[in-house]
Amino acid sequence: MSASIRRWSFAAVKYVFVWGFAALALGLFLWVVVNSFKNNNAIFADPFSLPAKWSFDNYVRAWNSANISRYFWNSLFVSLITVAFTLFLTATVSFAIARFSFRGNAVLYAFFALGLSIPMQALLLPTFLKMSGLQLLDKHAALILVYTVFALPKSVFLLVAYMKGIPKDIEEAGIIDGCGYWTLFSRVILPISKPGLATIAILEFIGAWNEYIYATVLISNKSIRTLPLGLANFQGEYASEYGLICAGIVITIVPVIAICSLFQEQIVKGMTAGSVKG
Amino acid sequence: MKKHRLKIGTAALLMALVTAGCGGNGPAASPSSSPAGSPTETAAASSAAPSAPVKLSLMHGWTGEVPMAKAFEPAIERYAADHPEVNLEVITQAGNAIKEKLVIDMAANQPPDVFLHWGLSVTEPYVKNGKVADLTDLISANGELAGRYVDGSLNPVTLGGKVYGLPIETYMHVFLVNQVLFDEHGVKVPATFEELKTAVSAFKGKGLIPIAANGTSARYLIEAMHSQAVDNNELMDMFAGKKPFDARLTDASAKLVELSGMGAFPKGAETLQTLQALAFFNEKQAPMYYQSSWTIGNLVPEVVGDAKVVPFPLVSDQAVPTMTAGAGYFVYMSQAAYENEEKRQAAWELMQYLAGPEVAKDLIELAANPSPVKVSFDESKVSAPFAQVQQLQQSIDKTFESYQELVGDKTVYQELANRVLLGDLTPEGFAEEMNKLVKEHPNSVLAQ
Amino acid sequence: MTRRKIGVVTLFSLPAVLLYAWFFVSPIGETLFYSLYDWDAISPRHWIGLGNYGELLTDRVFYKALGHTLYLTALLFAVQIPLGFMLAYVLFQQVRGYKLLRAVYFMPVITSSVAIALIFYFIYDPNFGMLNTILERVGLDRWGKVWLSDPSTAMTAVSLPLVWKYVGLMMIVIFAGLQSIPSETLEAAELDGASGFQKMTKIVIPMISGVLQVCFVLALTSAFKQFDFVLILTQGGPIHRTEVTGTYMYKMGFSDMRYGFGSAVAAAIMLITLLLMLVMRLVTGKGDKA
Repeated sequence: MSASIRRWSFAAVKYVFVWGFAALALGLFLWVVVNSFKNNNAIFADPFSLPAKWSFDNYVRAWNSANISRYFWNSLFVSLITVAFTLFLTATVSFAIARFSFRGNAVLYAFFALGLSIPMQALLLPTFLKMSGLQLLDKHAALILVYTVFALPKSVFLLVAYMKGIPKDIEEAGIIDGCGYWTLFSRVILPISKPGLATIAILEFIGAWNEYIYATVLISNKSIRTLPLGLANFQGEYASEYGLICAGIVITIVPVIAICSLFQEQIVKGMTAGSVKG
Repeated sequence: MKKHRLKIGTAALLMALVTAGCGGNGPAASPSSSPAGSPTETAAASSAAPSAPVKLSLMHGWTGEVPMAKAFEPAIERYAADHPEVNLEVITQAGNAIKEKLVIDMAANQPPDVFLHWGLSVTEPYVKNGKVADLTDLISANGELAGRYVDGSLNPVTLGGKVYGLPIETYMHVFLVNQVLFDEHGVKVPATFEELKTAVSAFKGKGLIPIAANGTSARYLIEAMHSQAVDNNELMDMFAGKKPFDARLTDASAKLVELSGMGAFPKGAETLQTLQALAFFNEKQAPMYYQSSWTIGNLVPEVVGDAKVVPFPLVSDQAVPTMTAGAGYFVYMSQAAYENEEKRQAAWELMQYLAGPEVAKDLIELAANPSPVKVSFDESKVSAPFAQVQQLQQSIDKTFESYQELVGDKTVYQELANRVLLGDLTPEGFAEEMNKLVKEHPNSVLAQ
Repeated sequence: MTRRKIGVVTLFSLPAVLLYAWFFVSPIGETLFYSLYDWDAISPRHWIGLGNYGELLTDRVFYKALGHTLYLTALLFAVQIPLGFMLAYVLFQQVRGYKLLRAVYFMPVITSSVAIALIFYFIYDPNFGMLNTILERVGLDRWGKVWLSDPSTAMTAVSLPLVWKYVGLMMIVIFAGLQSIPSETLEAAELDGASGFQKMTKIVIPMISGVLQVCFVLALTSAFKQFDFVLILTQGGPIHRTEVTGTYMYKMGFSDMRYGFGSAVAAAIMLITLLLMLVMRLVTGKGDKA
């Protein structure tokens, strides 16, 4: 009797905990959504009430003046190219490190792995000066280069661990068959490493998509801005119009949520597969 | 071997994609590498009909919700439309973000050709390092230009006898009350500090926020209360380090702390931005407001009729009504643009337009933003509070600049004032620190 | 190793190594280089050797910032990871609707930190933010504070968005680790009569220690990396109450134009992070298990 009561109460606590937390998160977001339909007057009067008048004014203004579609495209472009570049560079160098033994192997690995301990923002000043010297300021290339290079320590760390786990015989079989190294790389190792690559791709896409600090420093031209920058500037320009900012937030978040829900399975599979092997 | 080519091809494709992606607009200004000798070479070329439009970059912060945007941004568009020979690139950074943006641009050696900014209290490092153009000759070449502006407007941008900017905005610190709220609650509009305190506690009791203020307003309040008690010449001596700040500054800051302790300000005032503080006044949750005049343009129609500009309460019997006022925002030209003959002409024309009567009229009528340009405007178009500000300014004899323009390091001063508001620095300590500030960071404008 | 192999290895490593050296390693060197100068990026540099470091050693604000960053790290260790663990553990036991829950927790991870910062900005607003309004409604007015400015709450308030954002990530990583525990082990424990709590502490946690280690390293690096929340919410103020090492470095460089000193701060940050990671390695006593 008491054992099952205990089990039920445990279950209850579990449910409350897990769903409570989720409800809190959803509640916060919902609050922002509701406020986006109110103007300052209504918000000041009662931040919690449902609007007497559900007005889309804020959304219209936000969409027009905030240039959100442009920023969305910029972020997408930068993130996708970053991922492509990162995958290429990581795969090639990890292949060399993980599948060959040579004298400088450990050094090469450490070269990248030690980068894990450097917080990327610490390099903000010299990177800024370097990019300005290369005349890359206000160009997407600056962000892509920065994000790609800074992704290398983590990605190489992950992928090397992954590649090391691939049994030697698969490779040997390939060599016996007379494969060149490039074929070995592209036809044998890469496909097997797909989960690891998927993890890296997803992590880096998210990282590039959300990155704010370097974007702030390296980009100022409105047409080149990425999404986080656009939203932050939007807030700076309209700081006292709280409802308007809420609309801006909703516009920025909704597409991301939509994509996330669609690709949920793949994302989770990708992330867990890679990290478990590592 | 086929596979090697595939790999190289992939790499090349990626490279190509990246460089294609770089095709966004880069900064229009070229790095300041043009040798000093070039202006004469291109002079002949530019006197003929220009084959390609001159690329000019303009950076300003009057965008978004600030009232000046209503007048300024259309004015820029009109100029661009009227001048097809100029390819104008406009860069905007709202509010204070423009300061950091300029720091970045100057460091990258790619400053905008024309930009708006505060006076030498902020731009001095750039001037001293030769990044900002000396306009003295250009100004004297145009006879009527100097006479266009109210006396003294050029002072904050004059260093060693040379003028570096054209004034575009005057600031006046004004005290606004919501007369209707005062009448409703039967409170007298304060004329002295004691009456102010009475009003504060009365409104506090009714659940209102007595004064809609933020950190900046708090600082302005100290200035208002201090400058009333000190003679203008003495004040200048204090900022020049010839006389120390004394008990009168301590008294003014103590009064601020007193008001804060009474709950006169909104919660978290130190974290609010200026327009966020104004929002309380706009939403009729605060009956009083003390800020720079540019905010008048942001008063909402619902409250404009109720608002009234009144002289700031006198702190003591010996206090003299004083208004904090001066020229606060200027148009500059980068040295790089100056050295390029074509750009110099185009930039100078643009600057004269921006700091000229047409735009000034718009700023006054559309944005209620006072201008240093002596221009007549349509009285019927301006809001009542704005007209009242003009009247008040004419009726007060004693005006003095805002202290942040007179200290050698604006940031340090602002932080000191913040600390007083937050109780991290005593009023006595404030006076001491101010004395240290004028000694350690002398203001070079004053020193001349 | 054959000449051919050397060629292959070089070819495969070259692109990554070159770019990495140019844009990652070289800036590290440049940081150290600039830190030895006094420079505002517009006038010529001048050499002051270790002068910046000397100033740093006695800089009250830097120590404040460092303390705040360590506090943030502690919060991540003590709140984010355990929370992630508990959520993962509960989900592991097949709570109904776990797919939806997983989506909800993961949402903040992929949302832009700017959006999250702004949401929290509204929650914390002292006059009509969610927190203060709720407190007011239930009559706990006195507990209402200026969360982002009050010295007793400011740093915690500014850290919460970071803690919250990546709980989902920790949860997913730990969840994957949990899935790799052979089910026989768990069943054996249950048959032996182990209580839920014992099972968790004696079996589960040790078995996923590798994964947990990854989590702690991630948390440490993200604490020293992520200062965009602070930048957006408070800019480190008022009067440095929420300053972290990252924002301090940023301000020195981009507000005060002191690139030399800012570089010294950056160099110090790198050194400290390195030391902390070493310490963590030593404490856990394990290398990579790959």
